[in-house]
Amino acid sequence: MKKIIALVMALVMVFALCACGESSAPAAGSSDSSASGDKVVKIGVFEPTSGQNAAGGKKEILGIEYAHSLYPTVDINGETYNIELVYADNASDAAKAPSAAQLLISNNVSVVLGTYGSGCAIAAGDLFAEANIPAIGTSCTNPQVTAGNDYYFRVCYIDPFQGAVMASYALKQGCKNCVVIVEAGDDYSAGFGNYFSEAMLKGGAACDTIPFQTGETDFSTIMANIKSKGYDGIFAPVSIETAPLIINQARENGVECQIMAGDTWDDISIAERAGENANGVFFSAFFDATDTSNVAGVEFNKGILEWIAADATRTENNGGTADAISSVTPCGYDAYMAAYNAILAAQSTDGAAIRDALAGLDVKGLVTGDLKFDDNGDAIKNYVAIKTFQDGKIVFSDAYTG
Amino acid sequence: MHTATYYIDLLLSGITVGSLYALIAIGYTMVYGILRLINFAHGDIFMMAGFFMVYISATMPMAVAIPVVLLMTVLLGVLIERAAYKPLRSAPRMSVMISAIGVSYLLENLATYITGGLARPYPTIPFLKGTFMVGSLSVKVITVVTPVLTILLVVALVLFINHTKTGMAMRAVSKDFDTARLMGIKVNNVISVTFIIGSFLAGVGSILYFTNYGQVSPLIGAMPGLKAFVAAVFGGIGSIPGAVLGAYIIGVCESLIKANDSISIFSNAFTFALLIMVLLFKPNGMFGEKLTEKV
Repeated sequence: MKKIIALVMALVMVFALCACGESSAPAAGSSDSSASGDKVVKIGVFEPTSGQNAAGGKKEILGIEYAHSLYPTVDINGETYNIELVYADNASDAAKAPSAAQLLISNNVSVVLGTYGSGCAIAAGDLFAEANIPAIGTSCTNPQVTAGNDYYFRVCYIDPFQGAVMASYALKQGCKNCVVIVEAGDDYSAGFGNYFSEAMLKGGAACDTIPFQTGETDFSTIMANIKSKGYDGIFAPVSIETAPLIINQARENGVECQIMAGDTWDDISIAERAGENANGVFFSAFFDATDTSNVAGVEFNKGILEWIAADATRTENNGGTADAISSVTPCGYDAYMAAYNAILAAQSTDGAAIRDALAGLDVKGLVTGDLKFDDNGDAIKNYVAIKTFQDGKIVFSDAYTG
Repeated sequence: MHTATYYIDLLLSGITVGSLYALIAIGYTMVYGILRLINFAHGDIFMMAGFFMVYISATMPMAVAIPVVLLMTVLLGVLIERAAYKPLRSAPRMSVMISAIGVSYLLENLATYITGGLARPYPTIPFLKGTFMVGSLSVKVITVVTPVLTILLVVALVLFINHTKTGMAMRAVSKDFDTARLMGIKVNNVISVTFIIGSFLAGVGSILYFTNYGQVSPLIGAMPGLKAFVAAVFGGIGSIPGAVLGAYIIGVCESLIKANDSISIFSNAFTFALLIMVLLFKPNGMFGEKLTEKV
């Protein structure tokens, strides 16, 4: 018996060694090519591919990989460099984000893209700054991400702006007594909820906040509370995984009021999981594919949908569909394009040089509009799309340009 | 200022959550009663049962899928016992517990690997979905089915343990492992039956839980598993009625705490503070047997 176990263990070890050999093969290939004269510049992809924001992280990676497929090389001082993407999963967890960041730093990446979820971006920001590696935020909207950090930039708008837009929209819908449901301890959720309620109070409406704990699945008590106090609007800046729980439990517990949320909810899986219950729920978004005035956006949407449809894994990562993209995918694309243009402008793979190039960058006609960073490193954006769920689909409802 | 419906709402929600904890807690308490082992993988068996349903219901009708899922959950439970606990029967208790923690992480990471880390929508079970109205109160079918089914299963289980030969053997093994073996009881079979029952109830619990919340993710088992563990300790680990009562008390208390805005985020803290208090002041729980140290 012991011999059999020993044999099995030996086989497992041999298999593990084989597996290591296979997975290290492409890495060996790239070092071969560099030996033969091809130069490589590494871009880190700092995104969650597990945990509660995995669905969002994978959609941003799609945008990054699509951009990489269009612009796989960059010319620096007359030499062609291959761009290599290096991945690190921050597991949607601010506690695990620093070790993912460390992995990218020890891989000597020149610039980092990501992440979805402000908590992870804030947790890793100082590490990138200390290593002189610039990071380009994709859809982390909390102001703290770039504040006081010269090396963190971002291509999306920020929460004070988004909160004010959503509050003005809520007021327009007639919400007078609103409740904000936030995930306690989550930088995005708590921060965004706070900016929304400040803007609501300024607009003359009442606004309360109910916190819940990370990983909570039962919202029936909160719903009983909401029903009893008679709120006329729910604002829930929460993760994709929590969204259908809140929508379904609200409707099942007989809460009929308007439900609103932020950029995280632009995800088809919410529409599928909440079905009819989600009808009429509205939320902000970075991008609208049906907006024909955005020429780059229309072209991008067409191209990436074909690219997604061509591969089963890409389709699965896009939420099992090749009919529509989430608005975080263009953020991934634009972040890659910002890095690409900055490397071109810097004519260097050095992190500090790329950072300086990013600070002075001015790119016209990206997917979510022109890109220019302010002194904080935040993209100057004034466009918010407002979308809604309709019978399992996401439909454009309104646009706000400030 | 709140109406009576509000408090009934809270109570119903607490009882539903409590029932789900109870179904998981029984698995903890029975395994502890027999093996003196805290089976930390139990919450993850519950999670795996959820994923079994996601994949199996995609290929067969619901009436077939439910028994198949329960069967697979039972098989998984027995397999874990055979592979990870049985070889350590004579090892110190600590080794078995560490093995249980290993199994827990193995299952969580296996599920993360297979699903790619994403939550999956749980299939709809037609007769459990929907709501009906009692006066002005909208009640979900599942909130009524869950406690009723839980109580029925617990009664059946208690009858089984008190009135069948296998039940008698289980009681004997839990009293004294070695003497029971000397008396000719097939201890390994008794242990298998314990895992079958525990996993079956975790499977039933998972169907009710995920029907209620609509999605399964790889790490979802951890929290309900821990809460059920606290319930089992609170009730007196080893005692089935104790575990059930403990689960209901925790469920209702959490519901009442969550209803109060100013302390709602302390609902988990309350549960674990309760664990510490019980261990400090009444280590045997509400119904736990007083252990007499044998010299």
